Amino acid sequence: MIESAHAQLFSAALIDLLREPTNGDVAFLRCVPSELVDALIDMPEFAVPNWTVSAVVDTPGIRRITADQAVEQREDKADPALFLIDPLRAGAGLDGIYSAAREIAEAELFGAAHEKARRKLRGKAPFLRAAQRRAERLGRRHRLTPWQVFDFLIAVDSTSPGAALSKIGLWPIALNGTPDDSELDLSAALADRLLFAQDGRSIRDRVRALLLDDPSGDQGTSLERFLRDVADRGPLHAAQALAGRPDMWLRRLQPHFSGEALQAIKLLPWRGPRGDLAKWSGLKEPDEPGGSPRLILDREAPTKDKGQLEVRWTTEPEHSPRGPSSTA
Amino acid sequence: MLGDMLLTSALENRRHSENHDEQIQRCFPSHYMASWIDLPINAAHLRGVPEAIVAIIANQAAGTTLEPGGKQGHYPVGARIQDNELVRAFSKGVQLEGDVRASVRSDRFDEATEIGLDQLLTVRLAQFCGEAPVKARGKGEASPIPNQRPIAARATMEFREDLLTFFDCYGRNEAMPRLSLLPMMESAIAVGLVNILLSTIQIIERWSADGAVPQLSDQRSWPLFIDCSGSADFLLRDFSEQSGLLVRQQLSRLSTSLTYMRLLDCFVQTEADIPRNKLPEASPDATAWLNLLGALAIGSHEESRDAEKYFRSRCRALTEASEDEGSSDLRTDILGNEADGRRHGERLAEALTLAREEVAGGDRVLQFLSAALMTEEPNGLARRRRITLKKTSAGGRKTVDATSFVLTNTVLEYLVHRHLRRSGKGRKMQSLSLPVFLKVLHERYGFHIDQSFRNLEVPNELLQRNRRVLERRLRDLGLLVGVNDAERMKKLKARYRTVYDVEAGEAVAP
Repeated sequence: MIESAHAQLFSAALIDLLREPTNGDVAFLRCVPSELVDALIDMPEFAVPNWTVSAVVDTPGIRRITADQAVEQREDKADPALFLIDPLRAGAGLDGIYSAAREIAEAELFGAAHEKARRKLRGKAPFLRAAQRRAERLGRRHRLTPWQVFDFLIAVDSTSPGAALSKIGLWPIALNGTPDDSELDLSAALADRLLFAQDGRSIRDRVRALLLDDPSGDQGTSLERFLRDVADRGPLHAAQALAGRPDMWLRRLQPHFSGEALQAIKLLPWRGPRGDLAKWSGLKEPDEPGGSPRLILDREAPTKDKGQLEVRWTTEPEHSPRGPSSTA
Repeated sequence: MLGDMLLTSALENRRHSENHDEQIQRCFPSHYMASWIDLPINAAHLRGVPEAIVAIIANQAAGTTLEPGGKQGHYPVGARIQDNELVRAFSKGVQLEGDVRASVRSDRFDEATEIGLDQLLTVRLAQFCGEAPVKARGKGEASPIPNQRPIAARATMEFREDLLTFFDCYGRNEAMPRLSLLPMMESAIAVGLVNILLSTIQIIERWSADGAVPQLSDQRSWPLFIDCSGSADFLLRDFSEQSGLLVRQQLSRLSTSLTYMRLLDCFVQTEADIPRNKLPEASPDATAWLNLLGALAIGSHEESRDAEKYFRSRCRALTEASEDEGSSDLRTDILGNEADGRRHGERLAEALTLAREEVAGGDRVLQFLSAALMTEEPNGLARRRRITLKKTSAGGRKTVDATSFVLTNTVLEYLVHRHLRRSGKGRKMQSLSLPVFLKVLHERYGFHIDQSFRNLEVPNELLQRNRRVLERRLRDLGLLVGVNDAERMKKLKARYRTVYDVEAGEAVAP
């Protein structure tokens, strides 16, 4: 999950933020997610020149100290110390450090780290902005954490822009270059329908509604299986699982749900599942049991009470453009 | 004035309206005699939830139904008022006359008894009704309460412990004013039911994968991200809504798994070649029964192949029947898709769930969760708002409900008062610091306040802000005192004295 690029960029950001220390200087970070503290501290690339970097956790070890040891180091006023504190494991007793030492806050740290990561991605700024904007609209309003954005930026550099999309919840695209806006829209729409779905539709229903270009039906079946396998994960983790399934990426999957060609049209029944007439139909129940529904046309009635017969339908794709439509 | 008094202490109008001509939708149970006031006919089916709560509280060790008049425990069912501590606390001044078992008018209120005005109003309303309602049951049928406990055994045990500890400390002898006690008791039920339901999701997931219900020690609460600002901070609210979306997504799968269980249950009851005397008990604890169904589902039971054959024949029969009618819809598509790698029983369960939800007009499990959360109630656990999904396509906009999890003041008061007391004998006071309180919320109920969890990563600064908001609210409510900045010295404190404190005070006073 965490690679040397993460550690190198974090270190570079911290060098910029901490500058040259003097003896007795103490700084700390407590914004790194707990599960990443160990991974980061074990990386030799994670180092800040002239600072002793230690993780503050529950048990001492290599580059790891406990809260008591951290307090002692601060009181010794010896070499400059940078503490990577895991608040969930460090325990009590750090209040002195919290109030007296310099905290590198989350926004400050990731602001600098993002900046460093972006410098390596010259020419891709419009893509990065567009992808992030779409990722934040997934589901309803999907907030990205600074870590997720950082991870995405690194993945764009180390893999490809299309593959990196899965880091922020978008559907990955099998493409060596940079995806354009329409491809990003399709990626976001696919993630919205399959991973961030709001309704209780079944997986088969969702896959069917994609209108995949899949004459053999194999892709649809594989996609269904994949979605069932990741059904117990959150949408973001499910998207990240896609990284290992390039056969499921866009371009290899060719959905037509957002195209303009009308694929199918289905009339909605006037009767509901319980057999009762829908109000919107304009029809009335028959007088006698077993009779036909009635449409009452009363020319004398006020306009708002005049009966009208209503016909409703659904189309595939769901949202067709207005006006005459071509059929596939 | 009487109308206002009724509205503030005895009745609730639709949408909490203050008007005197609005429809009444609720009666507060401030006195035992409130049980004489009946539910409207269209609300009479409570889906067995009250019965389930009664079975949990009664905690009868064996039997398929609760035995009326049992002497064991402090909370027997069908016993005299004075034998059940929960009922006794609410029945001040009530005496019994005549045939208690057969008559619906045997409760008599002793007019010489001094009770609060809120309770008196409830008594008068009950007297106006004339008699207690007859139980909803078919003609000549008994209506025993099933002795069935939820499969989420750990959450159930904790719910019972929480509710009874809280009631024992603050509900007896009017230690806490009735108008404060009732909303907190409701909050206790909300917290417990939500925990039971959401723990069930994980249990069913494990059952689907391993074919067995996890052991008590392996059962976990479902993680929820709590917005301590109560929607005032939109960032916290958004993350909590994401947490709500995760719950919603998992619940939509729960219905299918439950239907699959019912299908397997039906197979065992009607088709399987398993001797009756070898079938495990299904009540009060259905773990062994579900493990049998699980073994059938994952293929480790000798009858598994027969079960699959049985479900395959059902799937094919349904598919053929729909082909005869010339209809083709999603359900027949699911039933007929034998190449999707799933078991036939699972496909049949999914198709049946879809059919049932179409007729029922939605997912019942989701509706139950919303009710258990007491969404939008002043003492509930959730807020809901209608939000518009931005659509870039020509179809325009679509709106959906977004649910965020909150701790209302009443819920906070309940949780603090509950956990300031031990659950053992004597309900002794225990010291509770803010970090320990947060740990209890996290481990016991899955309420995440200053921690992210798998599937939902929240920025650390936001987590810290959430914690600060909670701390400030606890201080404002008078539930937290801190003598210095040290986290461990931020101690929670009660606002109400317990029965034990009152009794100890009285013992010392003379």
